[in-house]
Amino acid sequence: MPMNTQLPEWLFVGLRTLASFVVVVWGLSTLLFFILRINGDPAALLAGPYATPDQVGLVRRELGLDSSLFVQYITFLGDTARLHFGDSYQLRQPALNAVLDRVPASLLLAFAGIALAALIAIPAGIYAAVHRGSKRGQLIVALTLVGQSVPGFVLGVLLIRWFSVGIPIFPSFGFDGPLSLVLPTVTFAAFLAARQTRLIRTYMLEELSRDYIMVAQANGYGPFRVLFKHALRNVAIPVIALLGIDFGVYFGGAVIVEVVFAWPGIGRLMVDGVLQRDFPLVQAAIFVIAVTVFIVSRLVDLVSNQIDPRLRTSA
Amino acid sequence: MKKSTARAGILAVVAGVLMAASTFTAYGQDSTVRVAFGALPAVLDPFQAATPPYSIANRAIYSYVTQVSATPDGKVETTPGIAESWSQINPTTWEFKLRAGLAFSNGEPLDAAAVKASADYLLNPENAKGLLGALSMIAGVTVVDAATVRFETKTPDGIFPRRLAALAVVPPVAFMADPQKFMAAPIGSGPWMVEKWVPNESLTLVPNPDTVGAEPKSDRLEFRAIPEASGRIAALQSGGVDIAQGIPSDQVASLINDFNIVDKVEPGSWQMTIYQEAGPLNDKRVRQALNYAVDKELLLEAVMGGYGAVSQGQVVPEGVTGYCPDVKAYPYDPEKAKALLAEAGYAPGELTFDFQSPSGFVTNDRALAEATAAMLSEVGVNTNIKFLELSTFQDAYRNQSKRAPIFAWRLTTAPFMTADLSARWYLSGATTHPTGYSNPQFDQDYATWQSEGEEKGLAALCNGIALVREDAPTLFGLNLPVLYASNKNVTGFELGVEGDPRFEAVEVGN
Amino acid sequence: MSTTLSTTKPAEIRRRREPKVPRSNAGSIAGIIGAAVLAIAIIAAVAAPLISGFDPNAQKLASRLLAPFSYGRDGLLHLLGTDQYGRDIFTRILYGGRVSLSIGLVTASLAAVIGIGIGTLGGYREGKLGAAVRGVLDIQTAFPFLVIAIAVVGVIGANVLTIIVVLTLWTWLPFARLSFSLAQALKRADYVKAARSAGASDGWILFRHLLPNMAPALLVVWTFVVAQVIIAESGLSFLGLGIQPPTATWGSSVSDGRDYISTAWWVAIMPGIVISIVTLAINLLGDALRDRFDPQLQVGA
Repeated sequence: MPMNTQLPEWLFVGLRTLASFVVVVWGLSTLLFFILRINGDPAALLAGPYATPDQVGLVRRELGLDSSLFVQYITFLGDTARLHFGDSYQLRQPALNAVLDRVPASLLLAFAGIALAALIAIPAGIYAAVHRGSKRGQLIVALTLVGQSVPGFVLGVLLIRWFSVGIPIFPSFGFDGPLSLVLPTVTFAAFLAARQTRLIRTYMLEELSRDYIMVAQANGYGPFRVLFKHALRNVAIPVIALLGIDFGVYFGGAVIVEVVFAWPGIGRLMVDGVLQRDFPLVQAAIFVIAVTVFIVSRLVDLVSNQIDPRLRTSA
Repeated sequence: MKKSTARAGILAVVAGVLMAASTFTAYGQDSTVRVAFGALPAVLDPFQAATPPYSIANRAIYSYVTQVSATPDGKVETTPGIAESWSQINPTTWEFKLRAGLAFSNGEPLDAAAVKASADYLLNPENAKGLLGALSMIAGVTVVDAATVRFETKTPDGIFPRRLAALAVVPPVAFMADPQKFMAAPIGSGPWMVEKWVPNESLTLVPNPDTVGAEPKSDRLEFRAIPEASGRIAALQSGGVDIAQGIPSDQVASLINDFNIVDKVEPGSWQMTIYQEAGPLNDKRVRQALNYAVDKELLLEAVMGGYGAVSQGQVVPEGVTGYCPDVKAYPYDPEKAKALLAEAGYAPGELTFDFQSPSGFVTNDRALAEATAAMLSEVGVNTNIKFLELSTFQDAYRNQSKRAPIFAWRLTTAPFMTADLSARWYLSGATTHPTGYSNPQFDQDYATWQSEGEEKGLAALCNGIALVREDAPTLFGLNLPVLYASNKNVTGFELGVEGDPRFEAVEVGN
Repeated sequence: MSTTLSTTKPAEIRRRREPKVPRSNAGSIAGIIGAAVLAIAIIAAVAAPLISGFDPNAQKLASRLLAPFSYGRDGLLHLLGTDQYGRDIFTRILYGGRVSLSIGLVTASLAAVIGIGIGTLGGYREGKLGAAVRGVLDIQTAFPFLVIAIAVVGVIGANVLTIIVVLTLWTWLPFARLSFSLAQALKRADYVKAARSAGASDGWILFRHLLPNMAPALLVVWTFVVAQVIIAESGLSFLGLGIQPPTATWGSSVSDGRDYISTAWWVAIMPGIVISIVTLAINLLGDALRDRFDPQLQVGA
């Protein structure tokens, strides 16, 4: 492309990133646009049980749902391009605002959970790899297996029973103050920590069996220095990538934690939106999540590139 | 001198600390009542619905033209709200006298003009409000004077004053300026004023000193949405809330020793539409067989923990206007069911029906469907349960083509407490829940009931209802309970006749 | 193992030895135990009607929520008690294994095939194809999986097929991501470069060098995904989107029992323990397999 030579590199990369982002959002929105319209009727829901079919039709027209699917889709594309998501059917306020109101609680829980999980998993995973075969190493592996086999909602319900009802230390619901963050964070982190520990242990084992470690050892470097100088740096890349993915995991699966603890996050809002066929709300939520996850994954790439310049690709 | 100054200084500090402490204690004594609900409304819209979750918040914030209350003999009657009295001027005109000197909490007068403005806004189809369908019998509203307002109805409606128990009145100036903005920080004349509102999540209310009714006894009322039932129970047990709504009926036994259980048979019910215009379910004997096959008493006992009531061959429970005491439930008789199926020509195991049920938005909906399906299989009728989420359910409810042969639904007659909504489904050509069912005699009986007034025409209606029971277009199920649990130190907590909570008299002791 | 060793070059032997880590037999014993438990679970699921005389879906509301080892109204022993409908929990666990294990194994394998295929191709080829795969992975990362699941399941209905499809859509991602980065890294490894300069075809390199080297890490992911899928199914049940009743699955049994956790713990905990044991067994098996087929043993072969 001739533009390639004229544009400064940072601008070119920026534009390419933006373009792929637009494609992501377009793909997701389109998919949901059509899936959600296969069945279900938001107008019937709003019109109430007493409404006659005429009155339901009126509501449908009011929502702009009476035109053909094609026309609706074109209108929707135009509106989305200008970031006009419209008003949420249920909340009667701009859908984007309703979603943005939920962002702080979601981000807080996501970061807290990932941070707590990483704090546990990185040392535990490395320890389990270095001391592979030892009693403690096996104990860590066993714990990760238990951690992975407990559904999040069971852990949440149990934590509430023990630490809210049994010993009333932490609030069992809602988002008021730091104490209320504890149980949801632990529930979310438990799942992540188990999985991160296991994967970090695997990466570390792979790393430890590589040539250069052997060479370093042969040359008389102590295992400690070898580990931290070489192995850790190489392990850091997949681990950072993993944390980035876990951020996406939050928006994919934390709705269960949000439901159990009545946490005012995006997940619950979006699930309600799907169940009530609140199209503008769902589309706005998809957009906001895509932006958030996108930013985080770019940051992950950036950090990875800093650590290992070989990963920089020009393609 | 120096000493005394120092002493004075110390005294001042001590006094200051004490004062601070006392204000602090006073704040601590500030009595807040905290209540957990399964869901809170998405918007504080007085015209969207008169049923939970909307009605729970709206009843606290707004006041209504009339109210529906229980009578000592277990029936319902219309009692004054904003209107203190009313009279029927001619078959289609009702005149309401409003109480004098009422005002909204922003100072706007609560008068006939406000009532008219509220009604006109609701009735304007452009505004597409959910309550329009419930009040669309209103033809027009006229202001006679500041304290008198007249409603014209399209057809004679014997219980019209009761309809206005669904009409919340809003301050016209503040509301009309920007209805959407208004609903984010609404102003009413109800017992409470909105202090803080987070859509779907929480609502904090403080007493309204100028309310139409009784002034609340507590200083603050806080609603929280906790979607999981186990979460609401945990919140109650841990002291996070004082009152919890939506207690699963089979959990009551584990709570009843430590908490007060407050319940009411909801004026609505859980039933199954089984009428089909073709196929096996077009045969009355098959539909009757299904009715005989379900052990309603056991459902009530095992799934509902004994709370609620068995529907007596009709949709509405006792107490609701239009309830027919002489119509009774189909007894549980599996042998008769099998015999009827054999008579209709179906061998055991030959019939298999899809069975749609609400999932997660009706009390114990999934359990009720599963237990019912198991009972049907006992008489050789197989079912495939399909759970529907809310909007798919609504779609199927309104569209015959999207509905399975067995379709479980739940509907409440609140706030009007009359059987007319459910009775209308059985009319030929019914539109809100079309089934294709038709019985000319019932149509005639229903018309008689409507024209003679709901009390006088009851005999006619009950004649029709008995025919419907016999025809069995419905697999009659249960009348569901509304179940709350409250801490032992909570006093004055009551449910209205329609099952919505009243918090005016609630106090939390020590 | 020794025969493999004898055919490899000395340099390769030194490369593959692990540092100061004792290789005990504990791993293979654990692997045998894991395989045995998994086999028992599969056999028990297949032979469910021979093991238990109860109908898994027959409700006896009069005998509901009986504790383990108690007798029902009809005098029959309920080994693990009964659930909220008076159904025998032991029997439902047996039958539930059919659905849960099939969903877990099928989904994880399907996801592995799709994920490894796409990821390896993208990582190995790089260039435009690699960029395209990366793009798809980015899309998937930003994919709020549960919303899609809710939408699809809500619209089409929850049956085994929908759930497998939905969960596959979700779980192919870790396979793809991992194989993408592994293939990208391995491509630059000396022995791959050597093989390519010696004229080896792409197919040869992929199957002889890349995939065997990627297998151990991917196998771990696979065992993890099997377990994750079984649990995810319970998460879907929690949101009301699991397999439709009365079909028993382990996940839905746990989910349906959660309301009774303080009054009748066995309803949720018994199937929960089974999930844990089977998950553990699958993981032990995975670890043992990884040790057994340590890829670097085959590098020089």
